[in-house]
Amino acid sequence: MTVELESLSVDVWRGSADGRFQTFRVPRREHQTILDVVTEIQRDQDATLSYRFACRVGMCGSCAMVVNGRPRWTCRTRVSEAVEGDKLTLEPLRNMTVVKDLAVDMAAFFDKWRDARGYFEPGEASADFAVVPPASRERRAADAGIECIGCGICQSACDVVTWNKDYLGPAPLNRAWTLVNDVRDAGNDARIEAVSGSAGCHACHSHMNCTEFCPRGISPTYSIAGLKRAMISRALGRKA
Amino acid sequence: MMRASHKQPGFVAALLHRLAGIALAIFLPLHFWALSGALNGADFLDRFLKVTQHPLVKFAEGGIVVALALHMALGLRVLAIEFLPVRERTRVAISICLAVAFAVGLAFLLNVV
Amino acid sequence: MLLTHFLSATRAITPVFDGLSGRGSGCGELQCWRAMTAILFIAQRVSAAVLAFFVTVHLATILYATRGGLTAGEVLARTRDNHWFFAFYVLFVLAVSTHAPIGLRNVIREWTPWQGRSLDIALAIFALILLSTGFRAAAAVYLPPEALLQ
Repeated sequence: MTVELESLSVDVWRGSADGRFQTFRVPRREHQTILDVVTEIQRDQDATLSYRFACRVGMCGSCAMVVNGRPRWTCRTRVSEAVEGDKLTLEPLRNMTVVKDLAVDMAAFFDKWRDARGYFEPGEASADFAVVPPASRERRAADAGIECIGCGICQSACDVVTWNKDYLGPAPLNRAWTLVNDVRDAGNDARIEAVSGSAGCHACHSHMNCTEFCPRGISPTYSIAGLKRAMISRALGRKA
Repeated sequence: MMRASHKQPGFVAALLHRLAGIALAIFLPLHFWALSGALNGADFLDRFLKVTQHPLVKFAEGGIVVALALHMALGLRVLAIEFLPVRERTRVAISICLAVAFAVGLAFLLNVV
Repeated sequence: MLLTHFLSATRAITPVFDGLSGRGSGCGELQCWRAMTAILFIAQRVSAAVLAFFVTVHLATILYATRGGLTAGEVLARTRDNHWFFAFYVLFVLAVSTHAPIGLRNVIREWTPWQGRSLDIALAIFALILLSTGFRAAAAVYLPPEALLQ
C-alpha cells in the first residue's frame, strides 16, 4: 500500500535541441525513484514521452539523464534525494544530440570510444595463459577504472567536452587508461598516440566533474592524469 | 538554473585559475613596460610609483598579487593531481589554495596601504 | 631540465617539427600536429614547475620590499649591478614567455571561435613581445646609471 504524501511538479524536456519544458503533476509516493516518476508520466499521462531504461537496478546505465541539473541514473535516484521543494526538472544528457525528449543519440560518444582505442588488442596468440597478479601496480590501476558501464554521465558533466567538440572525453579516456595498464594488450603504442592529440588527454583541465558525478565511483581525472604521464614518458623516450 | 557541474569545487577552482591566468597575461606586458621606464632614470620610476599611490591602484595591485598567488597555488594542485600518486581531498585542497592566496594578498595590502 | 625547457620554448614558437615524433624528417600533417600539442603540454608543465620557484621568490621579495612603502630608489638599489637578480629575472622572463602564451592558447581555443594556425602565430608573436619587453625590463633595472640609453 503506498501512502500519497503530496504531489510533485515535474518539468520534462520535450522535443529535440529545439524544444520546451512541459510540466506534469505526479503524486509523490514513498521510496519513489525518478525512474518511477518518468514511467508514471509516460504510462498514465502522456504516452508520447520518450525516455530510456532497461535493467532498473543500476547495472546498465541506460536511464542516465540530468535531474535538477545533475546527471544521474534515474533508477538509483530517490525523489527524496533529488527534489527541490516539490520541483523536479528532467533533461536529456548534455553534450549529446537529443533524439527526442529524454533520449539522446550515443553514437558520437561511442565513436570517441573507438577513436581513443578503448578496445582490447590481443596481439600475438600465446600458448599459455597470461599471468596478471591482481596486486600489481598496473592491475590495480586498471581495476580502479574498469567498472565503467558507458552510461555517459561523465561525458555529460564534462565542460571541456562542451567547449571542445573534438575532445575525446572522460569515459573513452578512462577506458584507454585501463587498457594501457592491461599487460596483455598489444596496442598501446597506437593507443597512447591516439590519446595524445589536441583532442586527447591534455585537454583535460582537472575540473573533476566526471569524478564528482560518476555513479560507480571511478575517477576519470586520475585515469587521464595517468595518460598524461604515459604520453610524457613516451615523448621523452623518443627524444632521448 | 546554474548547472550542478558549475557549482562543484573542482570547476570553481579551474575557473578561478583560468581567470587569474588571463588577468596575469594582460598585466604582464604592462608590468614589463613600467619597469623598462627605469631606463629613463630613477625618477621616471618614482613618478610612476607616485601614480600607483592612488587607493584604487593599490587595490588593483592587491588583486594582481592574489591572482598570482592563486594561479600558482591552484596550478600546483593540478600538477599534484597529474604527477603525484596521492588522491586529493578536493574541497580541502582547494580551500587551502584559496586561503594561502588571500593571505598573501592581505599581507601585501597591509604593507602598501 | 633547462635544456628541455629551452627546446620546448623554441618549439612552442616554431610550428614545424622534425624527428620529434620519432619519424625522421618530414612527418605527416596529423603526426606533426600531435607532436606539437604534446610538446606544448610538456613545455607548459615544465615551465609551471620552474615558475613555482621563481614566483615564490618574487612574491617573497614583493612582501619584503613593500614593507613601509616602495620607492624606485629602493627597487633599483637592490637590482642595479646585481648579477643574481639579473639572472633570476632573465630566466623568469624565459619561463613566463613559454607558460603564458600556451595557457592563453587553451583559453582562446576553448572559449572563442579562434583556432588553427593564425592563433598559433599570434601567440608566438605574443611570446616574442613578452621576451623582448621582459628582457628590456630586466636590463633596465640591472644596468648601472652610466649605461642608460636616453
